[in-house]
Amino acid sequence: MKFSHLRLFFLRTIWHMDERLFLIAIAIFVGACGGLAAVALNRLLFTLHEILRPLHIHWYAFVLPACGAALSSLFLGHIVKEGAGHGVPEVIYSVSKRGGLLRLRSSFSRLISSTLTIASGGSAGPEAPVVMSGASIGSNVAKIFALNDRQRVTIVGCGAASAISSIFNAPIAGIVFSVEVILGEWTTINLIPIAIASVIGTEVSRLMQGNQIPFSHHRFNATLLDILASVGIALLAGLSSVLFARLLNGTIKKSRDLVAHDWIRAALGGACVGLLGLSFPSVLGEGYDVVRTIIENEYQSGLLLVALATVAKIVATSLTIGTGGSGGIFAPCLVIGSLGGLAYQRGLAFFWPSVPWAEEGFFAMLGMAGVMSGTLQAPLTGIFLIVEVTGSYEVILPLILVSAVSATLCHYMEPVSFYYRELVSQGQLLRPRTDARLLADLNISELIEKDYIVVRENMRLRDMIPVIEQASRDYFPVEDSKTGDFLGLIRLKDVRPYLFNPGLYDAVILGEIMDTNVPHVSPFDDMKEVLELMDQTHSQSLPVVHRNKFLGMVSKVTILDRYRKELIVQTY
Amino acid sequence: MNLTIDEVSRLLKLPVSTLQRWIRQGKIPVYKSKGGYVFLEKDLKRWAESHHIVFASESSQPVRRNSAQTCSLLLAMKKGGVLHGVGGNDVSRVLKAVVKAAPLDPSIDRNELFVRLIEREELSTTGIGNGVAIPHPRSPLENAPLEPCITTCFLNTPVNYGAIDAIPVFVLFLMLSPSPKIHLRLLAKLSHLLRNSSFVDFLRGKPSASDLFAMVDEMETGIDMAYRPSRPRSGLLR
Repeated sequence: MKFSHLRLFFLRTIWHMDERLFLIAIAIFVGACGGLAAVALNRLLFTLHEILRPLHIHWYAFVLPACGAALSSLFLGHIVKEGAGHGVPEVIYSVSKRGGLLRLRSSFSRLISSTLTIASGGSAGPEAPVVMSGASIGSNVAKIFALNDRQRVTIVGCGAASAISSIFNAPIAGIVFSVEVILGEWTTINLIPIAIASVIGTEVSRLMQGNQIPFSHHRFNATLLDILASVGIALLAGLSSVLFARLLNGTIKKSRDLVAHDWIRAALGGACVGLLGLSFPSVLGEGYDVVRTIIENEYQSGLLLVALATVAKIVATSLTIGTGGSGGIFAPCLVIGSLGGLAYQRGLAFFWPSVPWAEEGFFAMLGMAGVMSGTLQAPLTGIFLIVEVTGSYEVILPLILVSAVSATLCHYMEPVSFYYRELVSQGQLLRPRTDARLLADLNISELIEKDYIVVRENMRLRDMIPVIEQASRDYFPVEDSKTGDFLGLIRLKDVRPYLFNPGLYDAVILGEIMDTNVPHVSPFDDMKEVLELMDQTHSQSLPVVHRNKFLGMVSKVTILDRYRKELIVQTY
Repeated sequence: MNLTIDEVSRLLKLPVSTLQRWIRQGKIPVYKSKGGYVFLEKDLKRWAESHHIVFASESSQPVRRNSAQTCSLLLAMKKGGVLHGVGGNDVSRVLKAVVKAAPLDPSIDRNELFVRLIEREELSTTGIGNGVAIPHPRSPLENAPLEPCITTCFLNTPVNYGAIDAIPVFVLFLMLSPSPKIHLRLLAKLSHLLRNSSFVDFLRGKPSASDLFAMVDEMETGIDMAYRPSRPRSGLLR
């Protein structure tokens, strides 16, 4: 007795005062793991890349991406038995639909498959796989501590944030990405653990790989004219993002129709990328080297070649990811953006040679932010990531401008970002505090009212009188007297005129006056469908029928009451 | 105080399945213990308050409902007692005499009651025909006792009561109920009895209290049986 009291007191203390502290403690652990996963992926990629590098000079090197993609597809499909795809939509799905539950094997599966894809030359990024990995670590740690859904989702966010922070050495971008893209909700209770995980993840990466800004550069001197010109790059970036998104989605659809086998499809896609890489080597791999040279103003090709390379990179990435290769669109976005920015600067310099335009690196950076914000439709992530990975706070103003314009343009042309596309089309993107979220939580078994008196079709109207006297409801379901099947419904307002006519009491049986054409729902229907049916049929209540048996009724009044309660408890 | 999930389900008027989901989703404060989930009343109250969720307190409600459901005509009549030989030759005098002589609860102000009875008679007569009247106040008295009471009063001489069928009234049932609901239930039973002409004839014989109660007991049981036929199966019972 004493002990259980003490235990309860202890648990209470943790809950009350220190639910946050508890989450923070877990966040530290998850942050460290997420950081380690990112470092591991980085090392793996680097090692494999070094091994394969000598082969890339040969003409037959185009088979390398094909082998990599095929192996990666085989690994995902047959060994760990997970679907293709790069991981971020899976994490978002889990957060919105499954309370953040992810499989343990997801914590390493994408690391391996994306290493195979990217190191062999596939055009994809290592970020999405590492986000999946971090998120899955978070989810499984949360499971060990028996956290509830709300807490688990926060910890999943921690894993994702630490992964991004660690791989880019960019703590703010990690926080913002996790909150903006993965969770879709800013609250103090989730923000603080995520921030802490982000810090820890970054620190782990700094301890193991040194504190370096990925794309360092010297200061840019941007004039007002450059800022004006940045509107142009914003539009260009926005259009490239739309082109990228459409091409990617198109490839996914088309390639599925053309080739049925996953690994053959991935191999063909990889081969195409390899061939493309023979003429444009810059499209291969995650492409950080390309970004680095451009930011440092050292990229050599001329205007036309750069413009072609931009398109080639878009095509290569669509082919790699669209056919089933494993990897994310983060790094490709950066490469497309920097190539696009470079082309734009070359174009400006070509048409107005007398104007002292800012350096190539400046426009490349804006291009990166623009494509990033546009493709992910997450402007904040774009802004903070670019500021952090280039260490250039001085260009924040044009950066914000470009991100905002590009995100708006993309939102206008492609209302749903690539990450959410599939989820939205299946109605499974359930953001906190939205109608869809609330309706998904409610289900008929919780809303059903069972205090209805069931009558039988062979009862006379006279037998109905005492039933009406006792009933608290205005609806009377009618059952078959032998089988007990639901036959129809009697509404009080329909029978009221006959109740005061005793001459009818023995002349009428209930089977004759019931409404047999009653729309009804099954206990497993979605609330959305139920409400739609109510609207279509103008009903306030609908009977719930399962296997021809009447179970109860659902009414709009109860739905409103519970809906409101759900909405209230969303904010803890 | 610790509460179980079933208790909380009653208090919040929510199904257990909703609470289980809320626990899983982390929307309601709860602790895991060996036996299962434990809610602390204090925490839960605070939580309900901060979320504007109605937290029903368990007491008070059931008592009233019970008395409403099991309101027995016989008990009310026994409580009210029987008066024989009530004098007076018009409505006001008769009622005055009844109010004076009736064995009422001491908390009832008799003058107030008389005024309220007259008020009600002025709205419309309570003489329901066949020589019977059921005087009562329009609404329950302020400090009416929880138990209803019906005082049966046999008049010395039948009085012209302005009854709907103009037959002079020979018996009054003074009815005092704690709530309109109970009033209606008792009234329904009493009028059901009075629809039976043999009962009215029995009343005309001015029976003694014990005979009257015996008769009412027998007839009320009959009504109760008639009102509760073999209860149809409800969805609830499944």
